[in-house]
Amino acid sequence: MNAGALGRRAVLRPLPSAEPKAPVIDLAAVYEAHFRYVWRCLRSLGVRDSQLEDALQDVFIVVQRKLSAFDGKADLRTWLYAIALRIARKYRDRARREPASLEAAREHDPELPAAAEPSADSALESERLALAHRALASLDDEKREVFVFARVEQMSAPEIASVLGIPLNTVYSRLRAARLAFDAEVTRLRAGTRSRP
Amino acid sequence: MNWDDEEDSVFEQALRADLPTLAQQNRMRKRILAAGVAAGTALGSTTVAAATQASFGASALSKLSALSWPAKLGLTAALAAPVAGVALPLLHTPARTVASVGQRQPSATTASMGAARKAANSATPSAPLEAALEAAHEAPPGVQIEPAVEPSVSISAPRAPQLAANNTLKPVIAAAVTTLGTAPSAAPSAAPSAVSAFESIPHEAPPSAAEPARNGSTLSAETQLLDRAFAALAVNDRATAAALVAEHARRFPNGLLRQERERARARLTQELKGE
Repeated sequence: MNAGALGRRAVLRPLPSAEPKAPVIDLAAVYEAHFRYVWRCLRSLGVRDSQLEDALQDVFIVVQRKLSAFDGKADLRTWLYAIALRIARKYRDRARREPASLEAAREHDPELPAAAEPSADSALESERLALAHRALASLDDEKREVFVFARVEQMSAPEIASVLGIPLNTVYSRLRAARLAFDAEVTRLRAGTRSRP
Repeated sequence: MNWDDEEDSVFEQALRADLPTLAQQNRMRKRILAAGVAAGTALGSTTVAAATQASFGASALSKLSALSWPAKLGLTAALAAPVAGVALPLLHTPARTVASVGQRQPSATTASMGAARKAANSATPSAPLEAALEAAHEAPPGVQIEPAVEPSVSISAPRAPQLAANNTLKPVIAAAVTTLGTAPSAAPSAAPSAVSAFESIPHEAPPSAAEPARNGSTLSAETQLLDRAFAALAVNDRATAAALVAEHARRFPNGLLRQERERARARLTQELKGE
């Protein structure tokens, strides 16, 4: 599902004025259209499961504060992801600084198997997801961010360059390196899984 | 570059399919409403989020003055909610609202943000809140999505009569705001229970515009003026907006919302230039 397209269609409504104005954006509509994808983005960017809802709330508190300044010229989804990126960095940094909280967060680490899986299919999906998150976690932050925005959130290279504040060529080169590292880690992890008794 | 031309591994697909479950989504909706973020157009609903953040500072009042315009506006909107029908989800959950504020006041010195959040999350939402959430979730996009000048249509409007009949809610909210405005920086270390703390507060209306507060301003009067000014700006009624801004400048030259007044003035100037 293309969250960006839906969000743009759903939440932007021009004022009934003769003059062209910035569209009025309803925060509740923005939340409803985008919060699942922001949640996914935060998770992929390394926010621990135990802190995901805190982080999501922080994102939308920022959105609430700044929504009136959003002029509608930029893509709303890109704007949201830029906020999510900053919040995710904050949470990652905090987890690294606080070993106790990191330890607590590991209780919900995606690399650990889910508690209950009702079917074989969902078990397989869950295993793939856990493995993908472990591979993501093996990337350094720079590669991880580019990889998540490009491959998970399906953003374009110029959008990624805009959100991360890096040159376009750096996006391409970083993504190439990230994909190689991700695939190598997936291969390594799968080999390790198969070799287990 | 088109990412689609590259091979898409099942692991990338798994990451893309990793969305919150329905149970998680519902929990997050409840939480975000309880925090006052996504209820309507953030008027009134901002009260708890902004106020609880303010409680982490040395002085709630000084923090209050530094809050953003919507946050300040939220305080008065919460007071006016029984009439205006704004922020009903919050008003239908006085226990949660009060709990959030009441439990976080002592946390200014001791507790962490995370602990306060967990405390707020542990509160059981009231049935009306859940009903409002369901209504918000189930409403079709065309109904739910309205411009800012028509806040919370899908959530609040049907419940306005019920709220107006509830005479106990306004004093509680008023008390919450009053407490925020006068909370000392050194909060008591032993927090009374959230509800009892607010029951002990006299149920009096906040000072009116005719009764200037100690700092020479009253937030509610200022907010009403600037609320009307911004509403006038939203419908392109510059004359009214200019008059209201001027009135605010005359009555509250050093008011708590002077920055917002300057913002309104700047918007007026910009629009005049844009003509």
